[in-house]
Amino acid sequence: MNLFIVFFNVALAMLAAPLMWGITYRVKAWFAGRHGPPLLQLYYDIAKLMRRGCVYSRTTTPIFKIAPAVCLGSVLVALILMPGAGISSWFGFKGDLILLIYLLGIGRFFMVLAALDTGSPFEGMGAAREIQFAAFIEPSFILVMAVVGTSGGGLSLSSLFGGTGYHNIASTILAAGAMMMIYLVENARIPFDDPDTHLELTMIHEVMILDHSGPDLALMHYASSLKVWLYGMLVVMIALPTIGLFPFWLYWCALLVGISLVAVITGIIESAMARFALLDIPHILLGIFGMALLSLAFLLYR
Amino acid sequence: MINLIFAAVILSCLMLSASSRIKTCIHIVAFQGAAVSLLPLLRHHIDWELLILALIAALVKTLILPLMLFRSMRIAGVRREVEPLISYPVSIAISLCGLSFALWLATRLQLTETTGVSHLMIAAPFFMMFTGLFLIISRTKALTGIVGYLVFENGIYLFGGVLGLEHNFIVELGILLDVLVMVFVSGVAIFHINRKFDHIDTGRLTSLSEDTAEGER
Amino acid sequence: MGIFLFLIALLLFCGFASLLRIKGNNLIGIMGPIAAFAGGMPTVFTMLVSKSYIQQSINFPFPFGLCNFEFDIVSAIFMIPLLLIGMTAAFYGGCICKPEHAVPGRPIWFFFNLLMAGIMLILVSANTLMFLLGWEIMSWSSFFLICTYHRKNEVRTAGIIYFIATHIGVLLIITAFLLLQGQVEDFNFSSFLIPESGIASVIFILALIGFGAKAGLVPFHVWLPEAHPAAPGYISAVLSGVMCKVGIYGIVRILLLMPEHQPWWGWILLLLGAISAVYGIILALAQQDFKRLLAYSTVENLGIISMGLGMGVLAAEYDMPDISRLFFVGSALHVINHAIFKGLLFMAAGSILNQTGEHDLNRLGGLLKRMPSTATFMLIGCAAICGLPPFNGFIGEFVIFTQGLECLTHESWYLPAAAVLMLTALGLTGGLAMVCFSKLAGIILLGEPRSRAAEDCIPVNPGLRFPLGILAGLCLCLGIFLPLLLSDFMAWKISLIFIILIVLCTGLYFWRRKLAASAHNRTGITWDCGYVGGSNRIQYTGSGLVQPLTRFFKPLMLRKKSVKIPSGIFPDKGRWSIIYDDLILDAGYRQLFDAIKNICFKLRWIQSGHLNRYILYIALVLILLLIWELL
Repeated sequence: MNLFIVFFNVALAMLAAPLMWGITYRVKAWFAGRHGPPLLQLYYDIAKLMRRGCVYSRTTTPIFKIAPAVCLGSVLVALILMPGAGISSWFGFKGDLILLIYLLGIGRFFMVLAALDTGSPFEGMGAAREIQFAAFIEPSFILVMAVVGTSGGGLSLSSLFGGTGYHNIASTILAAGAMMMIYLVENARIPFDDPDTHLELTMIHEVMILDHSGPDLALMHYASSLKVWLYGMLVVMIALPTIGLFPFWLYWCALLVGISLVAVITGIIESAMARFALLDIPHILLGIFGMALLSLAFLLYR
Repeated sequence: MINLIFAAVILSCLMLSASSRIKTCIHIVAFQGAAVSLLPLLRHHIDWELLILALIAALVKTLILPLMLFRSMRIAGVRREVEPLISYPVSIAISLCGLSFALWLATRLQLTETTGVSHLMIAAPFFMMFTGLFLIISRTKALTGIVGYLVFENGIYLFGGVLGLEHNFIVELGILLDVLVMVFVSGVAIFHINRKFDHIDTGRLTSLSEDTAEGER
Repeated sequence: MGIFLFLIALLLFCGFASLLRIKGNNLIGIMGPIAAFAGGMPTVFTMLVSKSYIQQSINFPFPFGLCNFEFDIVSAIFMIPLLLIGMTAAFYGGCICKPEHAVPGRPIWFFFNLLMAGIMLILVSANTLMFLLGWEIMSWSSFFLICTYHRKNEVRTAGIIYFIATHIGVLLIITAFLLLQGQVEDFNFSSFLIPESGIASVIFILALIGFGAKAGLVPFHVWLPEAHPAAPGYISAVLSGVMCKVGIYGIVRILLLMPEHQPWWGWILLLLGAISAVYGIILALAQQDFKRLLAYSTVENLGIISMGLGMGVLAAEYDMPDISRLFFVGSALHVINHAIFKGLLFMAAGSILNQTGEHDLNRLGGLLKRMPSTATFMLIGCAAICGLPPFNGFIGEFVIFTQGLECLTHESWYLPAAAVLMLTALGLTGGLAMVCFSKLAGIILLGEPRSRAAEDCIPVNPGLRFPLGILAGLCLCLGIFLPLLLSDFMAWKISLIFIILIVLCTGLYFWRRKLAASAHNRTGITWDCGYVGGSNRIQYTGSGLVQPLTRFFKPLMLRKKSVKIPSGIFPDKGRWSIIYDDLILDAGYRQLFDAIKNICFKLRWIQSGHLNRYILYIALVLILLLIWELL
């Protein structure tokens, strides 16, 4: 049974993840009074890119070609750790929360290396900001994972389904809020980055993959949409741990609905807010850390 | 008689601390050397060993050493001690203080009862040692330093003679030999210092040190 | 057990033999560490497997007397880095043969063998005198090894700083051991009595400062960033990978010799470790000299090990013995793993320095194309040191993290607070380490070369790549197979997941290649927004990459900025440079030593140079003593 969960998780993610991008953009378009791109736009883009040829810069090394594979591979392996429908994954074990964080780390490491590989200052700028934000958000991520592990008992991702849920509403809300902020930071959405512009001044993720083309770019886009799915899954499971009590098929529908809801909220945030001033962002990230710390404190000292 | 000699020795030390002419100092040291080496003959009864020792000591201290010193003096071309670190009136005052210190020391040492010597006879050697040290400390010419060393050594010899300590022939001769060699070597050294620096002023030797600014303060 | 004493003797013999003026003397010097590895590793493995304990006593003539030697698991764990890194560094050093970069003179192998012998003696001795003898041999030989390029001014300065630091440490260690011995006549550890709590605390503090100075814990680390860049690459590998660990070994021994621990000991270890880890990595990412960067990274990793130790002591005090044991296991794993990847990184850095002659990483770039093997191994080292799967850096940090999470559910207030502190510090250093090593790898190895030297460099000869390859291979293999050794939780799944990761990524790469092969590909230049005429210097520099972080952490660092603005009507050369130096060294130690120097200067008048005055001092003292005696 545990093995089937793995298959279901991965299959659902691979099928549905690019949809979230479409949902977010549709929401933003609606706010702006436009019709917006089709919901399945990212699928069309990926398919188109797969058929294209690549343009490689002469500066780049094999790292540039390995990076998309590693990014995608690491997110997929991270997905196999996730539990589902109240059952833990077959690959789950005590402490796999930490492994999740580090698997996402290796994807980021190779993306940054590929960016620096091109020898362009655009990518360098994006890389600088990406690693800066990642460095500040890491302790918060660990503390949120600590909350997850401690509240459900068992110190594993399967404790996301802590049975009767958290003992503490305040802790849950704070943890979910912190996780949402982490989702925004890691996926480089507003208010931390503007994924729409393609200038080095406001983008972080988009500029790092500026030189990728063809299948490489397709893999990178796919990997980032899978990352959005993964973080969305985490937000949903932290906010509503009782989702684990649902019957099997209802769970997956609920998960899909939940993550779509997260995408909608992302769209609303993106439309309603502007990006924070770049120099203020470290302080905001420390604020997120404070939130996570408070969440843990509320949990431990009821 | 013995007391007279002691008094003469003490006065000669006072003169040493007051005189600026090096020739005078060497003469005084020669006289002191004679007095010091011949004194034991008057104190104890004479036997051959004591006589020979006294004669050799007298020879070295009165003739050989002063002659070596005169030779060094001629080589280095010095006549007077110019600008001592402590001016002459003050030197005499300090010497008198030294005398009183030596007398106090003699009373504290409580040797009168045991060996039948008077306080003056204990104080005189200490005063000689003090004078010798004082000469080394307060004079800048190297030659006067050697004179001071000789005075110091005379004081020790006198102390031994006064108390009638067991004279080991060989030991005494050995000490004499050491003094002889030391003065000889100092003479050579003075020659070389003079040749190199054209003076034998130890006060100016501090220019050898690295931080001349500190040294010349 | 006798094997180690034999190996010590063998190393000493090889060392002295390499001083002789015969043809193969370098070879003899290199054979020493390699033979030590071959002879020592089997014993170490049998020890680790059988978890036993060997003891032997030798009766030396005066002044040592009966000395105990003991080899237990702790010694075995620290012996592994010594033998492994010793061998690979010896191999590397032996293959350097480019004349102008060659290490001058035979004494290198003499001191190298002496260093290894000294450390081995420390690890097997159970006797104060033997321990301190080994420690002194280690200090002296490492000093001479650091001063290999002694004609350079900064190398001499670095050596002096190291020398002073290590001997202040030795002073404190000797005091600690003497206090521990107390009134007992025998110098062997087994005859020490447990001291009472007041004295025990004093001993612990002295040992912590003394051993911590060797281990590189902040604020006693100031010699590390000076000394490690000054030494040649493979020497730094041994210093960083093995010698700093001996400091940790010392702390562990003292903790074992005084079994009644107090909680605040654990707190101090934890705090010092956390500060070292965070401070170390922040300063590491600010450095431009890549060897200095690696040195600060050593400070960071030793901080992590110390945090593990501290949490272990705390957990034991709060009655969680299993968790405490696992903390120590995590620290031990990190000791071994850090030695491997730091050794790899330092030797690769040495190769880069040899080939390009540049200290500054902002003048390098594009080395992956010009020195492929070395650069690939360096990349593996960078990934390993960040703790990324599937390499070996992950497992040590993983164990420490997990046990920290376990501690959160304890009922008292202190242990969860400590755990939160540790988790925060470890998380922050993990994130910042990734910054630091993406900078190192990205700026040095990737992109376009930023200077002539980097452009013209050629690969090192194969012999120098071989040890790097061994270590890189070990990073990967240990990464996959070490989790299998942890039987406590189902850590074998980690191995499985790593294998799946490697297989998946490789598969995706080949699939993508097939996809790309079927369409038509072109090469071109990097997209430059249509700007024609940019030079390679237009790339992002290392300092630029970490500028947001150095800006944020500015109060922690001493920033030295030098600007020369071109003046005059016609454009002239200008200059602008920023260097981040160690605040603790400059604002802390230098001020302290300057104050001591000023006080001493005020007393200079005593030593005036006047001979007369000196005689006056003697005469005065004698007279005073005389008066005092007679009063």
